[in-house]
Amino acid sequence: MGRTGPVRAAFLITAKDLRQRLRDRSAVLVAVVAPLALAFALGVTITGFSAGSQTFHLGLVDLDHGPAASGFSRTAKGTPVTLRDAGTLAHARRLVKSGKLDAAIVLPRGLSAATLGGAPVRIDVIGDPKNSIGTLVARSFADSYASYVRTIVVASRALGADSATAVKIAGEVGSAKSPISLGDVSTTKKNLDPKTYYAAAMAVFFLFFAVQFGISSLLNERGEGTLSRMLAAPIPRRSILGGKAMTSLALGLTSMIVLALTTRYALGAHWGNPLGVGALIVCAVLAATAVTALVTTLAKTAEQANAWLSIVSVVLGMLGGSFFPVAQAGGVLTILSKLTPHAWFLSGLQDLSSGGALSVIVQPALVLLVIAGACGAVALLRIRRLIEP
Amino acid sequence: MCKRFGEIEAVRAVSFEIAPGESYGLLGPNGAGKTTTISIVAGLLEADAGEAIVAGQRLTTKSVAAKSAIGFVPQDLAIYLDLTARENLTFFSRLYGLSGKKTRQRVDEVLEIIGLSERSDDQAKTYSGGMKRRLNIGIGLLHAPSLLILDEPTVGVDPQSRNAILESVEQLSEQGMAVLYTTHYMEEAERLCDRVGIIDRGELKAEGTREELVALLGEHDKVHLVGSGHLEAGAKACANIAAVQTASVGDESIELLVEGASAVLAQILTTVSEAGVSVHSVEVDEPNLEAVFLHLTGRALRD
Repeated sequence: MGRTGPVRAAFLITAKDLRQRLRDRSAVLVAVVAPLALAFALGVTITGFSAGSQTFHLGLVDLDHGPAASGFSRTAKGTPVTLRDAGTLAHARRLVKSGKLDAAIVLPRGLSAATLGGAPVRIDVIGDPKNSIGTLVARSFADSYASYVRTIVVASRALGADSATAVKIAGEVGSAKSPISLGDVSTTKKNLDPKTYYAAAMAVFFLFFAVQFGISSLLNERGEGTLSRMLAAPIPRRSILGGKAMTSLALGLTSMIVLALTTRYALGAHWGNPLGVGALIVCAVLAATAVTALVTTLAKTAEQANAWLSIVSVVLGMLGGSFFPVAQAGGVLTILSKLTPHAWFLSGLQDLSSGGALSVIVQPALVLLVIAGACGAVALLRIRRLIEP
Repeated sequence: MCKRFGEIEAVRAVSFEIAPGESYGLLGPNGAGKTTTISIVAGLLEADAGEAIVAGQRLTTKSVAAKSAIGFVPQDLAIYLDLTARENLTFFSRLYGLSGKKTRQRVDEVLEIIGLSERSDDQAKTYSGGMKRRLNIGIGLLHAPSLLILDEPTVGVDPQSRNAILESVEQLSEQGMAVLYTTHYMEEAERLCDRVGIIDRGELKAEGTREELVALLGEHDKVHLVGSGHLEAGAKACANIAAVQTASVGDESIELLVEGASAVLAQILTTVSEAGVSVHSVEVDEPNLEAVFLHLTGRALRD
């Protein structure tokens, strides 16, 4: 009879663990189904309220037909707003009510004359209560334009131009350059878009649950007596630890890769440069495995370990921004957030997706490796007690 | 071997030898130190002092080679319930160094031995308690070890499965495997073991064959005759038989203390019958390991 080498023994234990986890479906549920479902739900929900990537279709009811209004329709250029002639007030109301327009802006009769006289300018907006964001955008757009026209008129008159010329200048300036800046506030530029953010956030949140099936199952095996059997087998104890660690790593990597690919192709998430994403995933999985190993070594029973790991995973997830960007809250929360692997993983992804070179992930990747190294070292010092019968 | 857990001295200078093909029983109540002792022998625990040598090799928790000579069957069911019997056996056989065709062959053989061939591809969680116990033992047999260690393998098992387990152990012993068997059931120790070590509070109180241990008591068989008629006369007549040490009359019975009751029982019955006693029933109480344990420790085996 031959002898099983330490590496082969570790692989045998990993293969056995993975077979068990696939059979009871627990790993598939925690590592893939749950994060995917939550990422989809949160991504879709948040996207529905996001103004950043939408184009707003506004109508224009020009009752003035004067110089102050002439440049208005051209001011929408370069903004995520399209302006179209909505004809009469009644027609504009019908278009807004039917949803064909997000809102309509009414340039009142006598707008130019009122401007000439320096009277307050009032531009009305027709909105639909069900489309509050569209109404808000139209209101902001109209207010900003009215204020801008008044500024130009006042300035021109101060420089000696007559009222008619001043209003004309205002119209020309308005048409030459958009006075209103509704910049693309889509999170795809500086931040992750909602779909990508929640796909990544849920992936890293559930990663901490997925890796528990490996290293912390040592306590389960001790409770069930199978650890004694492995300890009595002619294999070194480090093979048992190695096998369990590899189970954690395999489940973590599989979970993250499946989620990245699924959300990329099914939800349209933009994870960024695959090489950089891959490196971040590996570092995050190592960090999650090390944190899990450390918490497991502090517990005496499998039940205790499961309870503690759940608490640690949820707290780290919340602080790390898996549910909302805690780091932007400022103060202590920002500092605490920086202590979590979640925050560094998401930060690395944000840097990658904003078009940065691969070098942008060096800092977050290093921090993740430091967390993995520190927690892993303490866990190794304590883990001997886990492999006793 | 000695082993302490904090203030508790779990094993105190326990020493014994088992020859190839011999069945050795460690008999003692719960908490006597049996499991700690075999945990050291199986390489699960390190002894504080002393050593275990198996098949010529010193055994520690790190001695991989020596562990190859040992098959270990823990007291608790140490099987993966969500794996099939074949998967359980295959996994452990590979840990013990079997591979490829040899693994399949040996797994099939063991499935046959433990009577699970027909259910080999069902998950263990669907098995009865007895089937799980048999699988638990089967894993210990996979690599045909020189020494098979069984830690109370029949605890919580129904009588039928218990009998099947005992028969399996008897067969393995007959095939030349050394067996170290712990139990707190006196009947199992008497039935299975060539020699028995009586252990209590971490100390090996005595060891030897059943006869050697019983001889420590210096006691004889008790014969209890229930009957009617001339009981006094019957008792006097029995007292004249050489093997009968004492004879007394009880409540509608005669009590005899006899050396080797089975050899003279027929003579006793004839004698009392001739003395005018009508015998309704006979009971013979032989001194057993339970009595030996009581004698050595001052308490019953099941205390």
